[in-house]
Amino acid sequence: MLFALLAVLISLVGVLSYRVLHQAFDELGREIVLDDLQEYGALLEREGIEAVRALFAAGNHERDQALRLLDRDGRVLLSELPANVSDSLWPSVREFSPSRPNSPAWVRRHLENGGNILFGRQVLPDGRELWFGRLDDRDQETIHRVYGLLGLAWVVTLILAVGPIFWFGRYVLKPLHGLMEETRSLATAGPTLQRVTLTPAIPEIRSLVETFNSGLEQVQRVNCELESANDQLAHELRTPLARIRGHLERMLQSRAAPEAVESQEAVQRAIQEIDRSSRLIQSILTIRAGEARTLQLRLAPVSVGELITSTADLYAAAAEERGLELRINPSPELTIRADRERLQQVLCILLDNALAYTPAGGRIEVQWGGRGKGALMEVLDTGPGLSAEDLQGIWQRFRRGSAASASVPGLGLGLSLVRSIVETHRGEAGAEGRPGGGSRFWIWIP
Amino acid sequence: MFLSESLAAHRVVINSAPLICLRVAGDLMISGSMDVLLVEDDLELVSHVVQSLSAEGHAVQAVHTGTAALEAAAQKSWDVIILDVALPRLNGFEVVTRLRAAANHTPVLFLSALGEVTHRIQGLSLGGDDYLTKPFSMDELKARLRVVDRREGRIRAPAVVLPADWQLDPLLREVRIQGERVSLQPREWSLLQLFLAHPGEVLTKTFLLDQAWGIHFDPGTNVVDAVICRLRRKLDQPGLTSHIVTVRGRGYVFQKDV
Repeated sequence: MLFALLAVLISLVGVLSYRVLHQAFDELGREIVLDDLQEYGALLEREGIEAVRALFAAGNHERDQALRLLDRDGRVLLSELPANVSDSLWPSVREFSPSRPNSPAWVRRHLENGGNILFGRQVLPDGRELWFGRLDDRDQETIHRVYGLLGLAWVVTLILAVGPIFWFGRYVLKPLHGLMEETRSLATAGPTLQRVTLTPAIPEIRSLVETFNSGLEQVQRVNCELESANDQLAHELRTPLARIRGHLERMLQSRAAPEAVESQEAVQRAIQEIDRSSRLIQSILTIRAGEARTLQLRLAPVSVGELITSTADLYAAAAEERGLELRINPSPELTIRADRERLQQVLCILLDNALAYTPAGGRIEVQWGGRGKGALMEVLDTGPGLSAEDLQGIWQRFRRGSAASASVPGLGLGLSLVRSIVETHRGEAGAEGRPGGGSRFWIWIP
Repeated sequence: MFLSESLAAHRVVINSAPLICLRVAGDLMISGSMDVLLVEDDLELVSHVVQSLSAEGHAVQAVHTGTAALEAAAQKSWDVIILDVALPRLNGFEVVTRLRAAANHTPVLFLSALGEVTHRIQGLSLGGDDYLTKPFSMDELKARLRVVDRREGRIRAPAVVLPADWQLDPLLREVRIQGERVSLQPREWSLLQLFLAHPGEVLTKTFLLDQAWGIHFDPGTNVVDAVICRLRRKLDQPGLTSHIVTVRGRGYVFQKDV
């Protein structure tokens, strides 16, 4: 590409210089002819025809100059032509076309050997005509020599340019291009062990790559710390819970356990609370990982229809028990790339919320469809709907909507978890009140 | 039926030595006894698991580090290994990787405080057979141990024990009770199959969710209760107690005779 551009440019310069050179020599030729015409004209008037003949002979111009003198009636008084040029080459009087009377007129003849002969004509005050011709083969030779030199310069320039262009391409353009591609792929991959490869490049680019990689290194280290902190936290929080649970179970089964129904129930409640805390810890850790972009997804093709149908099926019996109609609206078949288990968890949270907040006799609808380059999944209910304040607050941790009450269990973590998982998929989650009452929760996964 | 009486009768001794070996004569065994290697560094949990499993008639040996686990696994063949993940010396994922690399195919059940989906997947993909998150219910652990053990084919699953007046038609997913056809939906059918395969065992909700729905998280709403409710309505005879008994705070048990 660069090479071609350079070659074209150099060629253009060559052609232009050739034309300029030609024109310059042309004008020079005319001036010489004009000069000689005036010189011979003056000599003729002062010294006569023989002096002119003598001067022409003395000038040694038999090879490249021509001289002709005509009297008033057109008879030839003097005619000198180069040896290799035939007499027939003399132009006729008519061929001269003066732009102004008394100014010199010109005729150019092309010779067989490739040269040109330029004739100038001057009418003398006494009516005689003096013609002077000049062969330009010397000029042509010079031009060709100059042009040859130019060509040589052209080739040398190209050869000299190969190095820098090759260098520029290999050590500047190519590494920059690679850097661009790799950073782009890194940006979409999320936290990764991948690094930008250090290719041979100019020091500035190499130091840019090194800085970039050390930045990635730091991000990776922070991610690792966060991940291991998460694991550590899970371990520290859950192991004691597991111990307590064990003790409680043993207490329930021990022969010495108090027979009183009340104490039995208290222990069972305690066990349930432990399980609930354990789920809570998991939710918080998952949300934390999602926000820190360290949540890992196992992406695979997921049939949206199959996922939603099987998830809704899970709630069918519970909905029936609560006097709710759970309906799957016919929707097109779609396949997306997603983490099926996490997405199912998201749908479960939305369905669980809908079941919890919709009063008996209500209806829950599930539907999906393609939107842009992804799938839009919706859960509609006929519950209390959402206030303007809810729309702002429900996505925050530990915030529950205005319809929440002590009778509906929950900690207000579900929707934070939804958003965390959906955003890790680079999707979006949202909610709004429906015009006729009830609410609509949606997620969009690309 | 819950072993607590027999448990108390046996003296359970927990040594401070790294190796704890207990064998309890299992006159109340539900299925065959297993040789269990427990790898866990939390001594309280060890004592709890050892007691419970021994009461079931299993022989449990406990070790506390990853390297000790590899040694114990090389010494003798175990029916199942219960493996913690966050272990001193060598973590559980490393242990299972080395076991499998050494062509040791003893079933491994992870018992871990790491509850992220990716942890479970990692454990299973490295060669684990099941993954249970702490805190766990002993019933859950026992049920999963039996599933892992049966999958191994060492102990044949007990022949499905049906109540006297029941007949099954798997093709139509029907139960004939005293000649009357009761048609079940696919999920109800798989739940019933689970109960029939684990007669007399307490099955927790998480176990049922895992086995019947393939769900490893809490779906919130009492989905399992609702399906079991529906199943009971279909199967129960008016005036008789249900075959599916709720054990408060623990789960459900299927009883052949009511």
